[in-house]
Amino acid sequence: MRRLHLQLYVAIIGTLVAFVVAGMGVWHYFSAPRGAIWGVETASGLSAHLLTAPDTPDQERAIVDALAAQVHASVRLLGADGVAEYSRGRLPELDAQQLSRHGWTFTRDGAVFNQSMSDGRRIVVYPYRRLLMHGLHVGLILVAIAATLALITYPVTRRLTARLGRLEEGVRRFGGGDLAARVRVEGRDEVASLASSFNDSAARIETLVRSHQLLLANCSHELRTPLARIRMAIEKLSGADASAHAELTRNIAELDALIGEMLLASRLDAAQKLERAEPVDLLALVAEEASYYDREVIGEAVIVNGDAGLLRRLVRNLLENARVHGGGATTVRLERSLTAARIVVEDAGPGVADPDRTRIFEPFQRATSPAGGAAATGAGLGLSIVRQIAAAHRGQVEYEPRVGGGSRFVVTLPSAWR
Amino acid sequence: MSQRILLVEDDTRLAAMVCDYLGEAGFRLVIAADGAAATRQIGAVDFDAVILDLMLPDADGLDLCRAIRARSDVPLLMLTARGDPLDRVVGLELGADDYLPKPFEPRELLARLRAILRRRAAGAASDVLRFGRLEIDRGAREVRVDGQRRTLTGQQFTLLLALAERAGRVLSREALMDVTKGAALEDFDRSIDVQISRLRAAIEEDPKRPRRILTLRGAGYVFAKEQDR
Repeated sequence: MRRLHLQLYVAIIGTLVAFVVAGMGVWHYFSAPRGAIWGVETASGLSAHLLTAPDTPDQERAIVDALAAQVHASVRLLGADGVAEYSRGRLPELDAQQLSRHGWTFTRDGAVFNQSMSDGRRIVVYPYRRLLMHGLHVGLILVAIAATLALITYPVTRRLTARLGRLEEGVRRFGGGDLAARVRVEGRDEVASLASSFNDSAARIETLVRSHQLLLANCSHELRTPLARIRMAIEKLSGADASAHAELTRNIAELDALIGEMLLASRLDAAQKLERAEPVDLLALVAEEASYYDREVIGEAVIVNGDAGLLRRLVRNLLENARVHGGGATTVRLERSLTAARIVVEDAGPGVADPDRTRIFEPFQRATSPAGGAAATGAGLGLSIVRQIAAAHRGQVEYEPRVGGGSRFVVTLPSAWR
Repeated sequence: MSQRILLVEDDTRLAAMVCDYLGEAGFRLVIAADGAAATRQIGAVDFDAVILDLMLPDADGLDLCRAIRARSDVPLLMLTARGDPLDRVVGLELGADDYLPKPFEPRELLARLRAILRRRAAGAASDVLRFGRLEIDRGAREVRVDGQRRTLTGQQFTLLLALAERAGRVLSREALMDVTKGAALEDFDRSIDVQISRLRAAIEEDPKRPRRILTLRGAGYVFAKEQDR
């Protein structure tokens, strides 16, 4: 079982080990032990002592040659005037400032040891191997190693998290309403077990939602068939008085409307996007609905992309709400802006008190209006359906108090490009 | 001679009631309680019309509708409890002649049944636009409400047709003027508004509260797409 945290741990440890090994290699290749540096310094110091005693040029050359041989370096003997008296091997050029300094100095070609003597002359020792490195160079090499490691480890971490990315993508598709979305189970670690338990939950939710939808469809059938029977039976009560007949018929219509509203509300809940969308002449649609309430519509022609049946329902519910709670709509208006269409329905009723203004769009909530709920009919789903339909069209509905008392409902829908 | 109707409905009590009701109206009904029985009956008897419930225990009404259409063009009235507008579109596309949501008015069932039978009797040549109880027969250039002919002048018919063919869309006076000028020249000096009010007198229940041809102040007219609901 390869656990994810172990994989991550191995990756981190591996990177550290690689860095250490690379650093050691660099150190080994570019640098010598501390002792070698000390050796150069000591040998140069001793040679300087030997050279200060009055010697013949031949003896001096022999000392320089011996020094060069002992420390594996090029050596130059410089006079007090800075002119070379004798050279053994090739040395990098040194400027006056570097020559004036005693000790190690760094040139392009490596470190040089500068040993001054009591008689004003100096010995310049240039070891064949790079014994000392400039701090900046060490830093640059370490950065290069780190960068190389970073490049190598990127695909490793990518591989570790790619499955998480795919899992996230699957979860998002499922959340977006694609109930059939599943993810591939890869590997044998926590990510794999997360993927498989997501798949299990998704399957459960899908079954649940599907059976919920089936239940609703069946409910509709099971409830409406007896309603149809009652409706048929009423027809046979020929002797009954007309008002009872009318009352029964109206109650059946209300029950039927309620079943329809509940079905629509749950269907809109389940659907993330419109089942169909077509260009709709909103002005004509609003006018048609308003005619059933004997209202005229003022406004400009607007085309929106949407489901004509649902938009009809939205307008009808607003008008019905105005009729029931506001004594009928006083104004039905369609406004157009550059990107949106606004349907405005106003009534001169009692209006909605401030605390209820967001609650009226919740399902089964009715405003505790000052007028009392005596005339209230319907299940209290009307405005919540308005909000659902507006949302399904990427729009919204808002309540505003009407100037001069009453309510003003404003539905904003994005308009189609013409 | 009474007409024979096949009623495909799984609810036996409702089926019996419909049977009684339509029987009183002079139809002879045969009841099939499921899809298999319906298929058997259709193979055996030559029916004048079929009333089909969309929800059946053993079959999907839409599949059955398709199967019936594949073998005969018997008038088909679909009953459903779903009431989903989408079902309606699908049902009509599959060849149902009409559609009635449950719970229905018995009288409406009778009216619709008679309407599809009448339409079938009138022949398949009908080039008819239907808006609820309003029928606009393009072939015969006549207009009927509930099957009753309404008298219109040629120009009024042209105007009505122009409106109806663009139902659900706002039409300006100028656009209507353009459409009607080409066709009939009688009374061409009359304004569109006068013609509209005459049309209303002919086809609206209450011309003062129009439901079919609506005025939009400053914009023009709309012919309602969904009428008599």
